[in-house]
Parts: sequence; C-alpha cells; structure tokens
Amino acid sequence: MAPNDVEVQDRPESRSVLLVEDSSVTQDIVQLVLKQAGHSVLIAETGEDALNFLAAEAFDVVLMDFHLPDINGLEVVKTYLANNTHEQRPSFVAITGDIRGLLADRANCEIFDRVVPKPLDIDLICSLVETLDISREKQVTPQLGNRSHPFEDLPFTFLQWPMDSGHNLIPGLKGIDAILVHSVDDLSLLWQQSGANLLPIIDLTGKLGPRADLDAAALRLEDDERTAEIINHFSDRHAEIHPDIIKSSDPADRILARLHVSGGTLEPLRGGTHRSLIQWNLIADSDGLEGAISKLESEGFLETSFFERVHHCPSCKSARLLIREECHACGSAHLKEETYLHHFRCAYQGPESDFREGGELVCPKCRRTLAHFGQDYDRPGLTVKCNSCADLTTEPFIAFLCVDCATRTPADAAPTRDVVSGVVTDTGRAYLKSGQAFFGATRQTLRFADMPLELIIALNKAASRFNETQAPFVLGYIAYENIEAIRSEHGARQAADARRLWLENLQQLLSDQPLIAKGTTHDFFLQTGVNRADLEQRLDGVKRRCDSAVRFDLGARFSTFGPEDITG
Amino acid sequence: MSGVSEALDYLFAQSFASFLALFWFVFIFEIPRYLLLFVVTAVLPKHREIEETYRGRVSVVIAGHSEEESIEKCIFALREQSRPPDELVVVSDGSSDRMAAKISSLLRKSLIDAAHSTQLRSGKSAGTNMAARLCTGNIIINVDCDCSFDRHAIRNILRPFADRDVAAVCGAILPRNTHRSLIAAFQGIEYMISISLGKQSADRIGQVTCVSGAFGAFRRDAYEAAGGLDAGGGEDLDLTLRLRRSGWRIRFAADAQCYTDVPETRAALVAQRFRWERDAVRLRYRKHVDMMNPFSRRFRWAELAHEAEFMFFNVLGAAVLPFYIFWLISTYGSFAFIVLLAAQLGLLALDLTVFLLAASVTPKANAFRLFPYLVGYSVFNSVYMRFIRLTAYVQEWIFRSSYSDSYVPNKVHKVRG
Repeated sequence: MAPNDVEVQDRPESRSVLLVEDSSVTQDIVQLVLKQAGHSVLIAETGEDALNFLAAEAFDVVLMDFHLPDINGLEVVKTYLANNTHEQRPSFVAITGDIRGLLADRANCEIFDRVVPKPLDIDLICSLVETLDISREKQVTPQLGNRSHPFEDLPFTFLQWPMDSGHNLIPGLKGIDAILVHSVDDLSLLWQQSGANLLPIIDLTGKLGPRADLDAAALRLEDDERTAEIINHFSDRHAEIHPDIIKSSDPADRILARLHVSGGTLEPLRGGTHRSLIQWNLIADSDGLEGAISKLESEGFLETSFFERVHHCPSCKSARLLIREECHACGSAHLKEETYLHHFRCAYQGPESDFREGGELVCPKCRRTLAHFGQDYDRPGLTVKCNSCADLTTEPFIAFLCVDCATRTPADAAPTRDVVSGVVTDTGRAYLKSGQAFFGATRQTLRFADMPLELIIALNKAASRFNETQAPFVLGYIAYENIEAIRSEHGARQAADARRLWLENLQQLLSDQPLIAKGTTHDFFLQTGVNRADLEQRLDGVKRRCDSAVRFDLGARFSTFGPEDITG
Repeated sequence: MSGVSEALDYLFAQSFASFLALFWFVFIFEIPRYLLLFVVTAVLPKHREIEETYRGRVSVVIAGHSEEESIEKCIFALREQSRPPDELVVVSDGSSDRMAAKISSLLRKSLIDAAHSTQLRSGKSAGTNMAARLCTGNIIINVDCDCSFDRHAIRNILRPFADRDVAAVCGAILPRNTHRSLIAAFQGIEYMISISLGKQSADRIGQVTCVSGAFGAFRRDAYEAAGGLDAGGGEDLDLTLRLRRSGWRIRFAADAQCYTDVPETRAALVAQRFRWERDAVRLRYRKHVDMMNPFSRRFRWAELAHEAEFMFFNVLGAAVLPFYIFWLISTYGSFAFIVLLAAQLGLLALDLTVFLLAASVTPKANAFRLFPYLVGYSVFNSVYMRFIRLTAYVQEWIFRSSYSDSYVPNKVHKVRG
C-alpha cells in the first residue's frame, strides 16, 4: 500500500455541513475551521434560507442556532421533518445558551441529535461534525430530569447512570450538575465521558464507598441540604479551572481536575473488588492510573506519599495473586509436612513415610523395628513432601499464581508497584487555573479555541490571500511566564497595566501596523506581508525594547507560526 | 664436640652386622616402608584411564554441621567444574549457625538442587545417607563443606568408573593452608607423601583402603547395597572396607584434585589424629577383624595384606619405638643420642628421596615452598606422630575412647556401645 493511501484512510470523512447562524463572526469562525478540516460548509442566515437549502440539497450535519431572526431553530427542524418523513434526515445539532430549557421538553430531545452550548467551542464543533454517526438510526437525546429520583425537589439537573448512558450525551456534560449512580456497573465508561470527572458522584446503591462524593443510599432529611452543598462546592471549584483542562482528554489532567473539584486529595484504599486490589476515590478504572499519577507527581502537581507496595502479575498486571507453597521439582502445591526420622543404629535418616509399615516404624535399611523414641530413633527436623511427585524439601518455593490469567511467577521475581496517596499542590492548582499557558510557549501548540474571534477572522483572510497570491504572514503567540508572580506580588491591576503597555510597544515596534489581539492568558499578533524567518530575526531586538519600556519583567516569550503551520 | 666426633668415628667403624644391630628399628620399620612406596610407584605401571567423559547422572551430596561460612565457596567451586554435577544436594545437619537459611537461599537462586535441614544433629553418616537417599544420580560424590576443587576434579574422579567393577574412587586431597603454621606445613609434606604418593602406589596394587569423606565418589548401586555409611566415626574407612569385602574395586584418582584446610595448631592436629587412629583400630581390629581370620567366610588375602601392613608399620612401629629408645639409652648411655641423631639423618635422606618422588607425582603440591620444612618433617613424622598414634592406640584398646567421640552424637554412641 502506498503511503498516500494511508493518509487518505487516516483523514476523517469529508462531510457536508449546513450552518444556520445569523452572527457573521460565528459564521466566519465555523466556516474557517470546518473548511480547514476538509468539510464543505453552506451558511444560512435565516430559518427560511435554511429550509430552502435543506429542500434543495442533502446535508450530513445541520448546525442550528436556536435563536434566528425569523423562525426559531426548533420550528425550522420541525417543519423540515414534517415535509420529509421518508427521506434520510441529516443530524441536527442545536446551538443554544439555554440547554436546560431545551432539554426540559421531551419533544426537543427527539428532534435534535446533539445539543451544544453557547458560547461556541470551536474544537468541540469540529470534533462533533467529524464523529457524528450520520448513517445510524437516530437516537433520542436523553431527556434529563424526568425520571424519578430522591432529589427531584432540588433545582439541579442530574445525569442518571446508567439510564442516561448512550452515545449522545451532551459533550462535556454541560448543563448537568451531578451524576446519580443507580448501578455500579460500567462506571469506567461513565468516567470516560468528557466532563464526568468534574461532577459530584451521588451514590444511590450504597456500594461505591469513597468513590462517591455522597452516599445517598440511606436517605435522611438533611441529605438535600448536603447534596446542594456538595454540588455548589463542585460548581465553585469547577469555575476555577481553565477551559484547557476542562476540555483536556489527557488522563492526568482529568484526574487533577477531579481531585481539585472533589477536595484536593487522592486516596487509595485496599479492596478486593478491582483486580489491582486498590480502589481510589475516583470512579475511574484503577488500571493504568499509576502512569497518570506519576506524571502529575513528576510535574510537581501532586505531592505523594507512600501507601502500599503491591505485587502484580508480570503478564496481565493483576494483583489478584494466589500465594502458593510449591514443590521445587514439579511446581505442585499439593504438599504435606513430614518429620525426618533418624535411626541411630544404622545411620539411616529419611522422611517418616520411609519407615512407616502399618502401625510400625521399620528401618528400610536394616529392617529393625524402631521401638523407643530417643533410644532407637529421634525426629531431627521437618520436611515437606510433594504428594504429586514425592520430592522432598525443607523449604518449599513460594510462588504467585495470577487468578486472572493463571501466570505463575516465583515470589522474588514478581514485579511490584508502589501505590501512593496524594494532595494537589499549589503548583497543581496554578496549572489548573492557567491551563496550557502554565508551561509557557515552548509546549504550546496552535489552538483556535484560545484565540480571540477578531484574530480568527483576520487569520482566515490572511490564509485565503496566501492561498491565492502566496502573500506570507506570521501569527505570533505571546506568553508571559512571570505574569502570575507579578499579579500575586503587585496586584492584578499593575500586572494588567504592564501587559497592556508591553503590547502597545510591540504594536509600534512592528512595522506595517500588525493586528494585536488580547487573549485571556496569552496575547497574539498577526503580521502580514512578511516571512516568518525574517521576522524572527527582528523579534529578539523588539522584545528587548518592549521589556525595557515596562517596570516588571513579564518574562514574555514568542512562538511564531507561518502559513504552512496554519493551512497545512 | 669431641664426644660427637668420637661417636661418629665409632659409627663409621661398625661392620654391617653390628650396624644392623644398632639401627634395627630403622631397618625393620622404616626402610621397608620407604622401599615399598618407592618400588611400587617407580616400577609398577600407572592405570590407563579412559579419556571419555562419564555419561551417567552425577549427584554431589554435602552434609555439613554449622558450615555457613564455607558452603557457598564449596558450591561455587563445584559449579565451576568442567564436568559440572547434574545435581547438588545439601543437608544442614542440625546446624546452630545460619547454614539452613544459607542453603535455602542457594536453592532459591537455583545454585543447588535440593536443600534439607534438620533441627537436631544426627551426625555425618545420617546426614550423608539422607542426602544419598534423596539424590537421583548413578554416581554419588560425597564432599566436605570446607573443600574446594580444581576445575577438572569431577571429570577426573569419574573416569575410573568406566571399569564396571569399580565401586568407589577416592579424590586427591591436599592442604590449602600450609602457609599458616609450621604444623600445617608439616602436614603439607605428609599429605604429599602419604596421601598422594602413598595412595598412588596403593592404587597400583589394588590396595586403596579408604575413600575419604572429604572427596569420594561412589557407584549408587554399590553404595546402596552396602547400606551406605554406618553410624559411628571413621565411616569412610568402614564403607570402603565393606565395599572391598563385597568384591568391588576401589580406585584413587590422583588428578581429581581437592583442597581442604588442615589443623593449624598442635592441639587441633592431636585431636584429629586421635580420632582417626582410634577409629582405624576400632574398625580394623574389632568391627572387621574377621577379614583377617583365615577361618572366616569373609577372609580375603588382599584384606589380610593391608591389615598386616597397617598392623606392622603403623601399630607395631609406634609400639616398639619407646622400647627401642629405652634399649638404646640403657645400653649406650649418652651415646644413644648420637645413634638417634644418626638414625634421623639416615631417615632424612630417605625422606628427601620420597619427597622428591612425591613432588614428581603431585604437580599440584607446592613442593618447592615446602622443601625447607623437610628436616622438621622428618622428626615430626618419625617420632612425634608415632607417639600420637601410640597414645591413640592405647586409648582405644584400653579405654575404647572412639565410643565417646564428640564427632558422633551421644545418642548414637549410646546405641552403638
């Protein structure tokens, strides 16, 4: 197979998308991102237009803003469905700021395949378009809050597990306040659900123990209050976390975020339910957590202390090991303890079974009957006899037999792993608050989601121009390594002023009036008509002059990206 | 000085007959012994060994009491062999040190194949018998914990088993610690002459009578048919005698080299030799006395020959020596010392000859380094050791001391009388 074929196979399938959206900014961004990813995008600004397009063309996905100038999104879809009952319909994705309002009506849940919250997350839209199963029979979006549960009176939306499980949960579980667990089966699937790591787990089964944040199996009057308190606490902590981490699929990030919202400690417990014999205060599967935990430890985000050393199977990593005393010769565990007999007169010494003849003890060497203990014979020691192969030994082998995969390992060869407990450190909390920016520009990859909208639009135009005329441009990414330190030492206002001043200087120093855009943790510039290599030569000098103009050392760092990084 | 020169004049003036009358002890008990050694070794041809490596299964059994320090070195030396044993079985016989834990750890590291420990001491015989019972080889090699071996020792000790009539082969043992004391250096020469040269000559005439417990190999069926080692001391001599009695051939492998530590102090040497000599007397003249009785069913000329040789040179030689000295002094007064000195000088010349012969047939012994001790050895061997032997024989004949030897546990002594 040629390498090109592989590439083609690896690319997601190109999809036709209808975007029904009245905001030109949103139109531009979504169009830019989806086109870059190889999808075709048609834009309808009104409900009327949308219905016309839908009548004329077949789409894979329709991204439908709820609030349109003429008829609302729901009406558009209903009208379309009323007129096209037999045809294969596109997947409808609702874009709304009021998820709860939308989901409260069961009818809506049957119409839309997905609901995406506003403000729009570009990465989410892109992945949704690519991953939606458009060929499958449409599933019904779960209707939340309608099943009966003990907390119906509380003003919260609950995800009920596993009844609400399925492939069409709202991405990131937005709009959901807590998870009610009715069954402990498949909890690792729940953990894999994006956003599930940030919600309180309320246990209705009474079996989750420390893995749940609230055991609601035996309800008491004060539980409502306690539940509300926990949900609010999670919500407060959730708000502190940077969107990078909230959206991250890295297991280490997800655990760190979970630890932060649930109280900041990682607590292992010994228990037989999981094959690792360790259960954490997480609903995640215990397998493979060590990697993520040691990553957090090495980054300094988690301060750990030793909890337990666990032997595990070298083949399947299970810690459910049967400890066996085994025969050296045949490996059987069918052993029996016996005493040695020493016949003084002829110096024969062997296990008692050598001597045993019915009720008598007869020396196998000289055939004398041993009559008197201490005078004819004694028992100088113990031996272990294998009932399978009759081998004798003083000390049997100790080996472990894996209960899960039956692999046999000598005790001293069984690998071990150390289980630790942990507390989220100040560094860990700083990382949770600042997201990827915490690492500085060096680890940064280009992410549209971080960029201010006006920059994305300008970037789109620059990219189009590059495609037509090869006019070069450079996108600059500015990270401030010391901004957190300045903020905590001199206050937020001083830090913001310094950053603003630095940025103004940059604007003046770069020629041709670059576009300067302010982000939350980073700032950006877009310089057109210049090569990346040429600009990079000047940037050091520019940075020094900007640094000299402000009081504080912001620790500013540039990362630059050329057209090839953005359009490629 | 004048006394000495007078005495020498007197000696040189003697006729052969009167010379013989003066030095009869030397002519009866010393010269034939040396001559026998010399003639047999120099004249009779060596056995031609088959070069082929032994193909059967070979087990090494080691029974030790509180040998924590030495067991590991011994095992490593055995694992270094050009023909490694197929099985290593170690018994810790009621050790009071950490030998049991040590052999368990060797087992866990797969350096040995079986480790057995008893909490009560049963003695070397019972321990070795148990190890032999638990091992699986066709050849059982019995070694002491404090022994180490040249790389080809096992290969070479197995060669004589190509002859199906051979039941046991004795390995060549040399002291390792000859540099540690004068007593040890003397034993270095003694082992060269009596064990290396002596057993080589005995091997030529089929008269190897003791397969040492420090390094000896046994054909399993012969070992089992003989009932293994018997209770009580001198078990190695006893088993060899019983195997000989059953018609088996016993061999000595001069190139199967093993090293051991010999006693470094006079007291330790005396204790060891007391034990050996007492056991020899007990076994030869009590337990197996019927082998010398022409009317016994078990009588054999070959056994009578070596028993007579032992009786004459070892027992009588030691017993007569005090009488000879007494006779000299009573007859010649102070002149007796000159006679003894002259006799000793004569013995030294014989010792030198035998030493050179022993050195030539024992290349592994560091003869050059031991040479300066030869003068001292001559006195040590002909006078000192004879008195030790004599004391041991008297102890055994009168007090039956071997029956209370601490080498054998008391519980065994009680039964065996």
